[in-house]
Amino acid sequence: MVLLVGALLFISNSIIQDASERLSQIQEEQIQPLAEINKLQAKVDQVRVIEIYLPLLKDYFALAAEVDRFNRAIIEFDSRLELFSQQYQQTYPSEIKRFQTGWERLQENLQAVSQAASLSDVDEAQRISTYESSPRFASLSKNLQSLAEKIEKGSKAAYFQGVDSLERKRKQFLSVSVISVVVGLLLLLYFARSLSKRIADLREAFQLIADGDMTRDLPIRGNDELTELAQAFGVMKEKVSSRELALKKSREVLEERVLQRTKALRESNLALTDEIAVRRKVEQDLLLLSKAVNQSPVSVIITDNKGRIQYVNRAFEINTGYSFQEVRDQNPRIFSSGTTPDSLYKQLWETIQAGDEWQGEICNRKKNGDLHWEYTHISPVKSDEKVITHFLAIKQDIDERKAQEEKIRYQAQYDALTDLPNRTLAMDRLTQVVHQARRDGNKAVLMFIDLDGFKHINDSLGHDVGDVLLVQAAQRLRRSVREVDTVARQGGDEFLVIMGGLNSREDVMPVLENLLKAFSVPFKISGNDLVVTPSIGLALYPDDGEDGQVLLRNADMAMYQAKDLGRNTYFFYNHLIHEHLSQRMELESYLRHAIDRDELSLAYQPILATDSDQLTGIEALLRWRNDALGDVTPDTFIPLAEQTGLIIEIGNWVLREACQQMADWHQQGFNDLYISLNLSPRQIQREDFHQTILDVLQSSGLDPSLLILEMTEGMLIRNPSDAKRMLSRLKGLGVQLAMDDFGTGYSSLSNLKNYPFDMLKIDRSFIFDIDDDPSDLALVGAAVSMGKGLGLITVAEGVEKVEQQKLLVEMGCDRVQGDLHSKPLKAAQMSQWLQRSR
Amino acid sequence: MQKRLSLMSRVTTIVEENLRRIIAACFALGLCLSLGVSYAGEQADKALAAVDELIASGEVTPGSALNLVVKQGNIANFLGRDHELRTLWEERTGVYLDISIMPQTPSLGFIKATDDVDVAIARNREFADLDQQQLIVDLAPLARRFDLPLSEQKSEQYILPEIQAFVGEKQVAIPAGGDIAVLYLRKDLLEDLDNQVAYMRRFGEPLKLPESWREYQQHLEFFHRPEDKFYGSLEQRDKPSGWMFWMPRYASQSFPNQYLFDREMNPLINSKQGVAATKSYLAAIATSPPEILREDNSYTYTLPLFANGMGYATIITPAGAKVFNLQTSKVKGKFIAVPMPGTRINNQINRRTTLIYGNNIVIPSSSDKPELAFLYAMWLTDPDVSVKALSVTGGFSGPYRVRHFSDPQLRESYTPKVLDLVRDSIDQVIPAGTGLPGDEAYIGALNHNLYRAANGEISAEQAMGETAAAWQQITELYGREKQIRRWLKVIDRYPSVELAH
Repeated sequence: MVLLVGALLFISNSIIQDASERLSQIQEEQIQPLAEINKLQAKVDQVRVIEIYLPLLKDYFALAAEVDRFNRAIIEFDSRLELFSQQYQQTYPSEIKRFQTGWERLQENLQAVSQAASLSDVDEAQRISTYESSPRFASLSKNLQSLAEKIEKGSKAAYFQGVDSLERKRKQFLSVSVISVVVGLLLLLYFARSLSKRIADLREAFQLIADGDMTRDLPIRGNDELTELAQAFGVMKEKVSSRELALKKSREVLEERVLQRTKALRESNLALTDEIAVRRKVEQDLLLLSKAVNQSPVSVIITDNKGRIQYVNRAFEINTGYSFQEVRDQNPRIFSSGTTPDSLYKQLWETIQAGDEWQGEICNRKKNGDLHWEYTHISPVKSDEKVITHFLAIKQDIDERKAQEEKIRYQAQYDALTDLPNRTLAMDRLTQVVHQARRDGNKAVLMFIDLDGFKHINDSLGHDVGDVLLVQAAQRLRRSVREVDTVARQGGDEFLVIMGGLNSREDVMPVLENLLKAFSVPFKISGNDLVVTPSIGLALYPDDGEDGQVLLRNADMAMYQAKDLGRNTYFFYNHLIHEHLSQRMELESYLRHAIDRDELSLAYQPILATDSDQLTGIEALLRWRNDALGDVTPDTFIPLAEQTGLIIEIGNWVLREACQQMADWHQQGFNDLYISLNLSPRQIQREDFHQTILDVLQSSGLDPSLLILEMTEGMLIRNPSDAKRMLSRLKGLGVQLAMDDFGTGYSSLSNLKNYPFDMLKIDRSFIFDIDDDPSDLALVGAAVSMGKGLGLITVAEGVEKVEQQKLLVEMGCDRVQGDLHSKPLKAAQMSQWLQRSR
Repeated sequence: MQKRLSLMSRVTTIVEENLRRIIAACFALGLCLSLGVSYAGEQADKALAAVDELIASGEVTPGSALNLVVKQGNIANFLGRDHELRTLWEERTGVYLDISIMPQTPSLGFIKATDDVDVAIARNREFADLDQQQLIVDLAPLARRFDLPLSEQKSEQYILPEIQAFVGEKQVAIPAGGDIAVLYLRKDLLEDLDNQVAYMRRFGEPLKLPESWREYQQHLEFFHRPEDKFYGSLEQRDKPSGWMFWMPRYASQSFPNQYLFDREMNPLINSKQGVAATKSYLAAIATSPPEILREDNSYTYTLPLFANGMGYATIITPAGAKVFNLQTSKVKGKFIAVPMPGTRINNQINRRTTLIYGNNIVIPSSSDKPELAFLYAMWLTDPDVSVKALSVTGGFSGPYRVRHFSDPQLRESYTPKVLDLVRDSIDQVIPAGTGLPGDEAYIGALNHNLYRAANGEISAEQAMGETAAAWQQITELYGREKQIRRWLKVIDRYPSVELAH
């Protein structure tokens, strides 16, 4: 029977197992890859959709969110493809290879799109998406589709094969099952009837014994296992009934004893466990703390209440070089460097002995003698009775921070180029010197030194040469003063010298002579012999000021006075300079409101053809009349306007007024006249100046070719490359350019050649004596020839006599301007003059 | 050994006492946090249950759609990571979200023109105009009906609820984004030793975080290196946004506030304070990139420059930190958010900032499903759901609930420093715009004249003068008496924090 059922189970199991394996095989080989391909296609479609969407976004935050989604989708697809490749590498090697190659290429494009989009370069993202990744995406999709079709064909064949095999197994199983069931049923019926009768008898006898009836005999029949069971049970019944009673009595006694002992043991066990736990916890805590303190990166010292060292940790030994044995029972004062004030130690001891904590920075000395900065925190350790028993000191190494602070302080106080104190430190030293002089009742002096000609050298030979010059100049200054004096760099080419302990102004003279002498020797730099001289302004404490700022201001003013005196000299401050400055400030104050108060006006002077006296143009000249100051000459207020920057506003006003006036005269029929006006260097330097000209020309309607802008040579020398660029831009507007005051400056031919000038105006100082002074005559003749040679129109300014004009005609000078024909006139007078000359 | 153990034992006692204090503090903090979050999730559950009831009662048809119009910059905060929130809502309720996009511009014109939108986004300063023109729904009846009131827990739950959701006493919006303006600087440049020395030499004062607008301008000039394509300022100067960067400068000029109007609704901007603020606003342009004045160069122009390491400073909402903190950002770990500069008054600093974009949810009056729209908005802004909404990469919305500042996920996303800074700046926030009906016209005139001044067409004085004149006309148009009553309520919402040393 058992064999039969076993065979049946074995066959059925093998059929089911076979079917399961086949299903699993189909799942693994056919359905699973199809599902995976489908997921891959969906994922890569998602990547593509986001890629196309990215360049359409207009908002930076939306773009950031989508780039993140895009990157995650790429990573997800990459992971899926990686898994797919590992799983099906053996089955579809060529297809997998194609996918990987195609994906690598597409991934490069996608990463480029992501990069461009994250930089907000949506045009680049769109370009890559449209022209580069599009075909690669199509290729990858096509490959996925081809593999899916291939798998689909294979899966159909496998399916039908599997169905046939299962059908055959099913039939075999059915046949065996029917036979087995019939035989099994017959055998079961026989055994069941025989056994059930004997078991029922035994069960009845057992039940009686279980109910306590030990007198009843068991029914013993036959010769099999059931018979033996009945006999054995009978013997056991007898033994059980005799021992039962004895056992009952002894068990009662034993139970009582066990209960008593168990109770006593439990109590003592609990007490022991508690005590062990407490001790173990205390030991662990102490051990942990001891280790933590010893291994701490900060130094730890414990002293007794007399200050004797009782413990140091490992960090202390490393930091100081002392071992614990060397410092045991020593007082921490053995580390003292001698640089910390006693008052600090006093305060420290008072604090901690009062039971409070102390913290601060202390400079100590290591065993090897090196100084060592530590941030120290000292706490008293108290007993349960609140008595101080020990002191705990924790020290942190702050050497690096101190060094960094020192470095910052040095860089903030010293000039990197010359290594001299900078302005900040100089003012600090000046304050100290003034305090000292006040205490000692003597004098101090501040020198403000500016190097004459330095700017020209710096501009013409370059900053590198300028820097070397400054370094050498600083060295000469340093050598010229006393050891105790301070030499500092104020900035640019300006230096300060601070001297204290003087009894009178005469004490400064030897140093001043040294300074001037030191600069009498040319500087040799890059093969050039460069001459630079100092202009020195001096201010004395207490005569010229009581504090540093006042002394600095006054020395600065005195320096300018030294410059005015012809440079390479010195000048002591006096109150007259201050008055001069006050006048200048008053003038500046009035000048600031000159336009608003309508105090400025233009005067016009005609310019005529030299040979025919034909009017060709008019120069506009600026005039200022103030109620308080009266008529102020341009020589007085123009330099001030230049210095204060007001010249921009004033210059633009002149430009508007003059152009509008000339446009009005053109309307009145004086069509071909040009208007000429002077420019300031500051105007030319402005990047928007050509736009200003353009605006004025548009608003006035003036023909650009009839506007002549005059400028001096000095403007070109300051910054030649910028000047050339700006003049070219102006020239591009169609206006004409004139070099004014020719002859008073460098009179360089190269300046004329290198810039797009149309006109050359010869300064009035040469014309004045042209009929008396042969050298002036020769100079003007040369200027006219030079101008002609370069194709420029030449204009002589300041012509006052008929004789002068005759000479100019002979020289070939094109035009004249001056009192001979007309003084500068107001606009209305000029209109009348024009009418008369018509 | 015994002595040492005894000593250690006493040291242990000292340490233990301190530890005990710390543990007690942590426990208290934990208790507070656990109480704080106990509300989390309830709002969403309540809203969803109410949607179920609406469907059960037939008020809402299953499978119907809710029409949302969201600004492109904010859409990520409505969809969630990988559209997680949208899926969550649709699967749970069966109500579909039909979302369309609009640009980052004011919503007034759009809402006026639409008739089929259920949920829209509006800036704080637009609330008064939208309400006055009856373009949006009064939310109080809906809040009562569904027992989802904003007012009851507003002080604990929301930042600046009066500005974020109310016009006067009327609730017209549901807060969904807190856009407090924040100043971002390049920390690495500030800490550079060479820069510190050079700055000290040039200005005679240490290089430290700018406290005043003057110091800020000094920084901009110091770091401006256009020849290297590195710019001091990357503040926007486009025409529609000028007021956002002018307002903090202006409001800080007097203590406690330099108000826009006096109590009779006469403009106060045509004053030395207004001119000073405008000059500060204009001065930054000299340190900006040349294209900064192009009309359409919004933050989509300035922020990529900052993220690409091409500028020293910019001003934007807390969301800026999220994009500056991305792996692709060249300023990751190099930027710092600092308090908005202020004006030095009696040697103390008066700082003010404002809500600049402030995109919150409103329900257009034309919606035929206002109940569903309200429930959706309350679900989206639930404490738990809102964390998911805000923590997506990108997305313009900033933290708007108190608990957002302590949420670990959002602290990682926005950076802890920015969230702490924004939390600390709340009591310096002034109402957005004028807070009055006619705000579109008031701010429009201001923007117009600031833009002209920025282009050099008029001076700062003219800009303030012409704006003040235009404001007088607008006030007359809207009725001076009515505007005065409204303005006196707006004034109450201005901060009154004390000056900082």
